Amino acid sequence: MIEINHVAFNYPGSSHHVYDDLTLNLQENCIYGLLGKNGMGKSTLLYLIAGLLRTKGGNIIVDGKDMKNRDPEALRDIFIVPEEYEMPNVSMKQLVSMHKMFYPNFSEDVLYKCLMDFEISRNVNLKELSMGQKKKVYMSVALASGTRYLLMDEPTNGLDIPSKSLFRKVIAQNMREDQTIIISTHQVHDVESMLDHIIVLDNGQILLDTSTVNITDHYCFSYRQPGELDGVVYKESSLQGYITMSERKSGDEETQLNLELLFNALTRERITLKL
Amino acid sequence: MIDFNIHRFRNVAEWSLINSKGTLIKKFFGIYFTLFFFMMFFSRVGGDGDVVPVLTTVMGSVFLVISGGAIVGNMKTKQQRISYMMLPGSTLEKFAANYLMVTVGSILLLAVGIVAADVSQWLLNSAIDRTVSNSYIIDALWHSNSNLVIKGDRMTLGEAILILYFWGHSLYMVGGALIRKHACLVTTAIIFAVTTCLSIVAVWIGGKLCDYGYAVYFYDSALTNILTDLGFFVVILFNYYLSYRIMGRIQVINNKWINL
Repeated sequence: MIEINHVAFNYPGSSHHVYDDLTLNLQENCIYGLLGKNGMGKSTLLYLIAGLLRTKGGNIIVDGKDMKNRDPEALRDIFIVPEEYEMPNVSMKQLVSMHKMFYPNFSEDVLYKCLMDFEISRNVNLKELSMGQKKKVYMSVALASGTRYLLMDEPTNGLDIPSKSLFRKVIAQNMREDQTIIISTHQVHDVESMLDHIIVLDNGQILLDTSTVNITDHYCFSYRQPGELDGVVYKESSLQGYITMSERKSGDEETQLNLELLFNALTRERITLKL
Repeated sequence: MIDFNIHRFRNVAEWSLINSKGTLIKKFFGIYFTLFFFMMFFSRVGGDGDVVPVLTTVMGSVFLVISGGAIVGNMKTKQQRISYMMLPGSTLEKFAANYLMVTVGSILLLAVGIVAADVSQWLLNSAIDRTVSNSYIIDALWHSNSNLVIKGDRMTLGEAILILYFWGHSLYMVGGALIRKHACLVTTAIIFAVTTCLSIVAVWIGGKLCDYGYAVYFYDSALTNILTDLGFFVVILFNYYLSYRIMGRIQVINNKWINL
């Protein structure tokens, strides 16, 4: 479990407070979506959780260990996939052995399965990879490391359209049962089908922190015509009329979550959800 | 709490070595080509072969001392910092691995560079003209100076060199850990400025003491030597500890010019 307790943070050399008093608990065995516009503190939060940044106030506890101490046992259970990554100048075999030394649950089977799913050869020359391919290799290594917590910063940035769907497939098929994945992104559409829990950040504040099930239990997302807008909480015009978000009444069928619409409703209109 | 596990340390050191391969190769070729150029120049153009050992010693010493500035050399970019800081090892293990790299690693690099440059110049000179070919290393070993041996109650040249090396190296380690950009250059400038200021102050105080009728003596006894050694030892340890603490406080994103 990750406990974020009254965290205050501003970057060294900057007076802008990214967080003043952030409190959040992240449960185990979930895929969390950390959503927000650019510059809202998503990556900062991931770095704080990983102990790569120091809080100015409060603390972050991962499985009982304060991350500011950068305890090796805690680091063994956390893996972060940054937005951009440079591969070390090594062969795939060396890359595997470098990670095997540190992560006792590292699985070569998972690695090669992920690479196969990403349509990358296991004998690939790491020096000749494009940015997207590097990301795929690194995500495969991250999943193969078998850590309890996997933090991904904008994982779909730099991936082409087919690769984005491959990404969802790879995560769904290869994540461990006891694994918690936190995906930070502003490209909400890329990840909406895979999330269990959503956290929306805006200017260091939490606008939403709830499960996707809870949202779809209370709200419907559907296309409507201009004359059918009763009970609509938020709408956006589309080619088919309006795409709407409305409170779900008893008897209404459950609809699929439209994360982009929800995100816009929260960040543009500042709608408060009744959950 | 001191957290040091020898198995993890070995892994961290191995990881660090693999990741620093490119930098080490660049440094090696830097040393090799510089020394090779000077050896060739003085053997063929300059004519005075005695300059080479002196020049090699000076350049090697400078290299060894300022290599302390690379104590966090494998954490220069944001991605490098993420990779190294996320390694499941304690800060002490990571610091020790980097320390080995900037001490033993630098010494080995320098030694291999000197040998490679010497062998290369010897082979090339032999190929060009057998009469001027000789190995500078063999010559230097043949005429080695016994003053470098530490003995008796006097502070010998070897002892002084060792102390100065570790002291300078530890200062560069603090500078390297503390200063984010151009650490070696800034550290050199700071050391130069501080040394100049302290020298001026020392001369001024000495002059004032003489003006008041005091005599200034420099005692050269076993006790003063031991106290001097001890003083330097404490300062060196303090500098190492300082650079370790600074390394532990490095953050992945920092807009300041120092790592605090």
